[in-house]
Amino acid sequence: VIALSATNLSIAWLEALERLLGNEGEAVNLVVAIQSPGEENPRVRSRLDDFIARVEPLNRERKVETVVTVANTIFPEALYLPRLQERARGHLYEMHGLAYRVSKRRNPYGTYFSRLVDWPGPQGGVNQLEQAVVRLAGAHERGQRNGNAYETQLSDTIAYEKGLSLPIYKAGVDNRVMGFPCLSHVSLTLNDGKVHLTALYRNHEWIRRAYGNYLGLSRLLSFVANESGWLVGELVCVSSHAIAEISQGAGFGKADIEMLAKECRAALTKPHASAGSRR
Amino acid sequence: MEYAVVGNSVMDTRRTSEIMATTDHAGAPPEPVVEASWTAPLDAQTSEVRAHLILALARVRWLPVEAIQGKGGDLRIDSQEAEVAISMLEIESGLELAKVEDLRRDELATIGSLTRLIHGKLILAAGNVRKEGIK
Repeated sequence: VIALSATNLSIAWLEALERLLGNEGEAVNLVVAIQSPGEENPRVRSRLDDFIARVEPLNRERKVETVVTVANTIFPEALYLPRLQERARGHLYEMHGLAYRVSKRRNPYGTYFSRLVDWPGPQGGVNQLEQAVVRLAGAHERGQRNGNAYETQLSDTIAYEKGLSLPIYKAGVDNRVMGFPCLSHVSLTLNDGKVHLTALYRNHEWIRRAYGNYLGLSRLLSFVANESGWLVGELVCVSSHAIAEISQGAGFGKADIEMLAKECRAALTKPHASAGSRR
Repeated sequence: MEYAVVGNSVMDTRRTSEIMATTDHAGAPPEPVVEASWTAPLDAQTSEVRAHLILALARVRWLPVEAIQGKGGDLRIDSQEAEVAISMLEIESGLELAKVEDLRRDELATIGSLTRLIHGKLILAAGNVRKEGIK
């Protein structure tokens, strides 16, 4: 087990990468806690995106995408307009439904966000994200800061005493050994006026996916907190298996990834900025 | 109240400042479905494609068309916004306007690149119609 806690998502991603590199590029049960998931150091993201841009043309057969493209599979931030207030969620779901008609051509198994808002339940699609927001907002209206009195039964979403569990993995459907969905579960916990998010990954590729996943989960958590009236809490990500992707493609040599880590470490000396401030 | 027809819906076209001055600070909700105004003729000019993409983007951003057009020059867009716009135009036209190989970041980056993509698809579709001898 490798466990670490960091103040923002850039530091968390980088420290985990450094730990992976010190552990022969691999870990079983990598647990990362991000105390302020809404904050990041954009220079770290830029270094990673620069690396991605260099290796993408060399690895066309693999899915090598920018940080924000990965993040969009978890939360399509451009389609969420908080200024619409009570209409913002409906607009997001409607626009995502339209976008998904097109985006599923390149993501034939779906996206994480599509699993959250259109979970394939026995009686059809279930918007488990909306159900979670409604329940948390209800707790807010009742002033229940620990959310231990939810009364609405969720369909496929599992409600327990203090939190909400949003499954991504669908047994019997997701039978692929690798690939979608690597994120199998999202839990939301309300505690002391803050919503906390825990995500479980069965396999986490640290160069191509992890930063974007952290960013997407951070935006998802921010959305849930904003729409339900609570503060943003901690983001915890459990990767039951994580790899630094050494030798997993052209430009993915050990020296290349070590250099990336060094460049990102140097970039950390610059000031931080909010994760929501850029796309 | 003024509305722009976008896809099979309409939206409030008042300026953002006017919208924000109303009670809910979030603009008027879309009105009930109305008939689409555009059937995507296969000989559509780029200006016409662009105009409909602007309408679609206004719907995505829930802003008046003038607020979108007023920026001048080519307009940078998010790939998700581009996918919504493509979807709206596909629903209107009944044509598939982007294949998986078209969904590259550079193709979806601006209104200009998206206009070229969709206009190219319409030209291709027109060529196929001619080949099949269907008017």
